[in-house]
Amino acid sequence: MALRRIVRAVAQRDVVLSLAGGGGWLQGIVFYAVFVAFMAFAFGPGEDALRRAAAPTIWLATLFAIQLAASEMFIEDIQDGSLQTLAVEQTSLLGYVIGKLAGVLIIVGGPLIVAAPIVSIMFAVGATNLAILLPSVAMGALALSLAACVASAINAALQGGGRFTAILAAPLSIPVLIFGIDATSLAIESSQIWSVEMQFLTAMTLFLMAIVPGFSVLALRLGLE
Amino acid sequence: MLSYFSNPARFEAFARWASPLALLVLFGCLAFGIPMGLYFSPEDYQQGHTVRIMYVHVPAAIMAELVFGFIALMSLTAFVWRHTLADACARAAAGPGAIFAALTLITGSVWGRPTWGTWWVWDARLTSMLILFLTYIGYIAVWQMGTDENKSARLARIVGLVGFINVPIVKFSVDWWNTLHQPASLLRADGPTIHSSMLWPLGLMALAYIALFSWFVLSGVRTSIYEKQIARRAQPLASRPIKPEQMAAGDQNG
Repeated sequence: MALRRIVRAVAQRDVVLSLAGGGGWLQGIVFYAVFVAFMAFAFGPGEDALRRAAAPTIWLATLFAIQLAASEMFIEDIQDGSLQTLAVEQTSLLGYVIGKLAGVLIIVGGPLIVAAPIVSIMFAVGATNLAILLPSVAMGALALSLAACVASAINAALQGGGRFTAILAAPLSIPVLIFGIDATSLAIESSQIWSVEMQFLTAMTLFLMAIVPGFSVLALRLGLE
Repeated sequence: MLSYFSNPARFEAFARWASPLALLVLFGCLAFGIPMGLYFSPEDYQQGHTVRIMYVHVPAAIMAELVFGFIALMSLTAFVWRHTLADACARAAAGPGAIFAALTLITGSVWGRPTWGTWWVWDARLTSMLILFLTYIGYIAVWQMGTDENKSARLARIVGLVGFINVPIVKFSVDWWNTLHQPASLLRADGPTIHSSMLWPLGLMALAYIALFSWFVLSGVRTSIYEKQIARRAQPLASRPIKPEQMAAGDQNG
């Protein structure tokens, strides 16, 4: 199927490009590490405070790292003309948007998800099985990437600065954050993976999956005119 | 009906009598609503005079929510039928909507200080109104940032629609968030049902807000129509087709 081929090609190109030059794939995880360190300083070395801050810290660091990476995910392709070429060739840009999302998830989301259990160790979480928080964080990374994607597409069409993405993505990210932090906290504290909060987070992610690609394509088409 | 008003001339004809009418209703309602609300209505037996903030606060809160619905409806209309006046309506509504949301937050805060003993609580209602305010800001920013008005209009439709779908989700998630983390201690569940001496000024003030909003939207759309007319007239004449007699005259001269 043509759509699948485009998705794979775009995602592959992004991953190869980020691995090839300048350590672009490190940007997200380095920002994440710096943010986590700042949070630790902000909360102080007390173990109780750190334990309570673990889930919020993981989530805020993920949110900001993804928004930082995703805020300019389309601008480069518009500037170097590759998006124009794709838009001329394809009847729909849907495959392109999905490929870009997959690229962001692999390059930025992947390292963040792996880093989440490490952060929880550093934040004095005493759980025995730290992999238990992975499902909620992975789901959250997907949802937050989707929210940042549509905001970034609108931002690219407006030729605005990167900061504007954060304003547009904020209302979409808030429900994700609310359910996600609760889901992760519950996973850490009482080993519940499929809690009600996690179900809501999943619902929110599915909802974003349904609306975001279409609206992003619309915005990108406008940006190309 | 929406298509009927998509013609600027028809809209202008409608606005010519609707706009003064809105002002008339506004001042009429204010003339009765303000004295009734601020002077003649009774004090609340628990809140005292601070209950009078309600006459400004409650209609503003209702309007802040209704106006975003209006923006979404206009965005959808513009999206489906490509009526440029619907875009103008949505744009004209955004500013007042943001101000209504801000007014709700400010008056609520002023009321909360003596009543709850704090300026701000992360109560579900307050939080979702704050996020609604942020959504307004994002929507307005789309209009303000673009250089090409046509493009901004079409992007604003997307933001208006996505924002509208998001508002109930935010409301619902914030309800959930609040009930999980904070027991209901500040808000009394069984307040006294509202007496007609308070209901009348409240209704009049709500009507005044609606009239004010209508006047803002009508004026905003009329301004945008005029602006477009001025821009069209300022265009160089060369783009117009040359009439045959002009061509003949040109031939003779040449």
